[in-house]
Amino acid sequence: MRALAVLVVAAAACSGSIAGGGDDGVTSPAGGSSASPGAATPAPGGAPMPGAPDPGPNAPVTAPGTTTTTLPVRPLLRLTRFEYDNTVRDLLGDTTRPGSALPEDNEGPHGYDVAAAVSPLDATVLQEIAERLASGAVKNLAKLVPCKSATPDDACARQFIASFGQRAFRRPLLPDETTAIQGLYDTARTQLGYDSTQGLRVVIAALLQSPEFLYHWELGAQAPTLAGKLVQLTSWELASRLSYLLTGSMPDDELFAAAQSGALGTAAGVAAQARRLLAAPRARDGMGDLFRQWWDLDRIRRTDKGANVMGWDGLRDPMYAETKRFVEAVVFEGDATVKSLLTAPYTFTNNANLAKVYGATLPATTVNPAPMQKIDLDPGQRAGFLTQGSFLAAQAAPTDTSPVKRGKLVLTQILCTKIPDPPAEVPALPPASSTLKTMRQRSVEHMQNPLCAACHRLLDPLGFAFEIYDTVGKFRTMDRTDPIDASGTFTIGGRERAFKNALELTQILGAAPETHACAARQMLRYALGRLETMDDAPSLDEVARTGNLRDLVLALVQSKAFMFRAPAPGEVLR
Amino acid sequence: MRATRRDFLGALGASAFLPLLDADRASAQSYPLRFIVFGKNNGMHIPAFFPAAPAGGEARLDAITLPPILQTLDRRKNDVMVLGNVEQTSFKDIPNFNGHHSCGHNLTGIADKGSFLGGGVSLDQYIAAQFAKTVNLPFPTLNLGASASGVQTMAVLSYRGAAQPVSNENSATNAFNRLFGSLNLSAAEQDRLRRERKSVLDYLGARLTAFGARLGSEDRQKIDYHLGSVRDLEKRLSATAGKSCTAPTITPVPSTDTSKSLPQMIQAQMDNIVAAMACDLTRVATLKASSAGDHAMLWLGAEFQRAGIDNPKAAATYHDITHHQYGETKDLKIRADQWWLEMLMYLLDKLDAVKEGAGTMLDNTLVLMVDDMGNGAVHAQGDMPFVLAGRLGGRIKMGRYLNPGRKVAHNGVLVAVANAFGFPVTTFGDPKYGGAYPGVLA
Repeated sequence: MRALAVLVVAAAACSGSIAGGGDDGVTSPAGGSSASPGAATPAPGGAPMPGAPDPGPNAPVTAPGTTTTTLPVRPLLRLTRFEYDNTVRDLLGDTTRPGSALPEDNEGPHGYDVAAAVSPLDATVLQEIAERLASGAVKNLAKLVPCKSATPDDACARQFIASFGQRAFRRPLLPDETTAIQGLYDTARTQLGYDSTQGLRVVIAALLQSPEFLYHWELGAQAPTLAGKLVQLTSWELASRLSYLLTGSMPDDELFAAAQSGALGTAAGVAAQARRLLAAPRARDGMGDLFRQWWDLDRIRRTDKGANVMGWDGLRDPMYAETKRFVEAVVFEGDATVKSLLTAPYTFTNNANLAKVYGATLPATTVNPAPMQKIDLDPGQRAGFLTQGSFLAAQAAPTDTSPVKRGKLVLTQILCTKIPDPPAEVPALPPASSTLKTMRQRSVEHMQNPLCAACHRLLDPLGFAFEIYDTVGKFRTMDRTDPIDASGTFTIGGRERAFKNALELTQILGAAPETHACAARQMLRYALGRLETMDDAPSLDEVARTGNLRDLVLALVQSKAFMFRAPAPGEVLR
Repeated sequence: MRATRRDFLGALGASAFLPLLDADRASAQSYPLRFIVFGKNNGMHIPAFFPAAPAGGEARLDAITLPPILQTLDRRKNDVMVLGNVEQTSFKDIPNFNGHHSCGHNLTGIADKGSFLGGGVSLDQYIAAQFAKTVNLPFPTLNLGASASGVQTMAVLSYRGAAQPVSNENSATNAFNRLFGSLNLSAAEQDRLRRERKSVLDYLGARLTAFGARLGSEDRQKIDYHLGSVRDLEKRLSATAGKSCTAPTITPVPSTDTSKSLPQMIQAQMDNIVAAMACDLTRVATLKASSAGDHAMLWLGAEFQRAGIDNPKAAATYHDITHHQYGETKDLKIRADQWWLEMLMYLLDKLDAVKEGAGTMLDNTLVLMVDDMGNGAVHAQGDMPFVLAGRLGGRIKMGRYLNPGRKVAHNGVLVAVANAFGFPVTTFGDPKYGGAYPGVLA
């Protein structure tokens, strides 16, 4: 009876997720109901939804107040460790990445990093880091203080509080904030007997622990501007939202100036700044962080297959570097299409052993570290990210392949079909035996169990396509003693498609509107810190009409979902 | 025969409930009571852990044959209690539950809506809050980890309230510096630092209050928790206990590779706990070791270096060993689980080495060892291998194996422990899971 109950739950969980697009009560825009991954992937890039505006990616958003469109509530988010490190680098010039001492970020319901709730330990570490950074900052105060005198005095400190405070809070200080910080400075001067420099050290330490610095909430204590049922983001909020999306850090001087001048008051103004930031080197950090999470690239950095497993030694870090460089080449130097990410006939490495995995030889060099080299791939063996080690070796068991892990990444991250965690009390994959020789045979046997089949019939066929690569990611034709069968079928866009192996599968995925739509959804999740809902459909529709990631970013930042937000229940609106 | 606090209590005819003898008032006569939680993961090999169910629901550990894993505790079998038939029902009742994310239930016994997080205050935080009514300790709780990082649903035992996880410090060195670092400063320097931090924390408290006031209710709860954490730092500045302590020394952990150094990571944190308690810097501590067992156990010898299931050249992780424990890795699983109890023994020996009056710190401490699963091969939440250890001032009669012959929700263990400390709760966590595990306080 117990097994039966679990079966029902598991099956319901899998089919429920496929019909509904998530287990969070979230509705996918297309709302398909067929139990297939294709149907689960909505197609907002297709015809516009009834009633949705069709302004084109560069047209301004609908004027505020003229629509009843709603949006989901965006939860309050704190700087992630990545954002914290980048922000103190740009604010103070500190490049030690001190955020690594903070408790790790969690994966939010939308699949991207969310900083932990501030427990006593988090508060302690935030205090320790802030004190250390402040001590470092006052050693070179001339860099930060706007006044001329060699050592700061009280008048200079006042200027510092206004100018540095504005950069730390990412918006001008409100009068009561200035009063509070000035009061802290005065306390340090009079009650603690500190000189101006030590007084500013206390001020910097306090600002770095302030909620206005730590949280993504640049509205401050002022009343929000309502636009119909929505809140219109201020220029300062838009500047930060744009900057953290594209560079993973606080706005630079030019973006702050645009916020100050009101240049972010229109969608076109936002797009102009987005174009500028996308062309700057720091955009590689921001997009790199998106891909790190979207494609689960952290996993390769944790992958340990043990010494001597099929030449694994030394491949881990080169595999991470490979994909990082590959993404930059496609997104910033290439055509920036999802299709190229999934099918490009080239990759990059500076590691001879990794080059060998791809059947290439690197030219000799005396430069250390060796420069990354572009490698042309054998089209019969490789194409795009899903044939790279950072996917194949990371999404695998330590000593064997894993059709489940590989299939799951394709399903959840490339096709945006949510699959629940496996329930407890599921049997493990049967071990290899004389009758179950290949991984595919073992997996098929595992799927005989109806408890497993509910989800695995969706996961495993996609994963079988990658059986032509071993646990390390090397191309192979045999699994132990048997030739590999990597063929299968899956449903996408309401159509059943057959593939011979991963190379055919990646071509199908690269061309499918469903894959492009999923890219748009992933970017929205990353940019807004939440899952998409039906309310996002108009925004997603604008965004996903292109399979080009740069265009997709530009469309996203001009979308209603990006430029507006819904008031949270209980929020004070006046 | 040494005269200890438990003799004193025994002479008074003290029974399970001792509400008048709270930790602080007792300390005039004796030493404070302490509570330590040691959390592991991936369960135990059940057939080698639990003894056969005893007639009448209870057996003396020195009167039965201990199964191979429990044998590890043989030297201290009169200091421990094993609880049979414990089920982590609050987690099992979550649809599509997955045992790897269950540790937030170990001490809370209640689900958070829509997530695997704990849904209420955890036992350690609850007991610390009761202690805090009478004593202002620098660290009301000490929350430590040994390679327990990653998502909090796999790493964190403690909750201040629903969906308010209390992060672990995984670096024994950082924890040590926080506990004992200020002892190296001069009194004047300590005072200056205290006053500076006080002024910053006052500022932060006011800012957080103003910041939270405008937010929606869910977001305001996040700021309230943040504010509470800042208040904790303020209280630490004015804490009165622990001032006369001399700093101990720390044994550095040789490597950050969990597969090689997990024992040293655990021991260094246990050293921190015992040293902090000896200085009365804290009376409540949790230690969560590892998150999901994704590490090899190379320190256990050659067979653990060539334990790979599919490829004999690679070492299997504790996680792999657990999943295959009813097949190829049975012996390895049993040996690994023995090692976990050796870690418990290390803690008990450390506690027993600190003299307190005529007894030791172990006489005044209760240790609860918890796990995120029972049979880890299938992530099961029944047969949770919970162990109690220590004497807690004689309030618990140790040396027993209890098994009431029916499943008891683990909330019952939490209730029994709270009762043992003198807090007369009748439920803990979700009240629907019932009252005290029978017989613990008998």
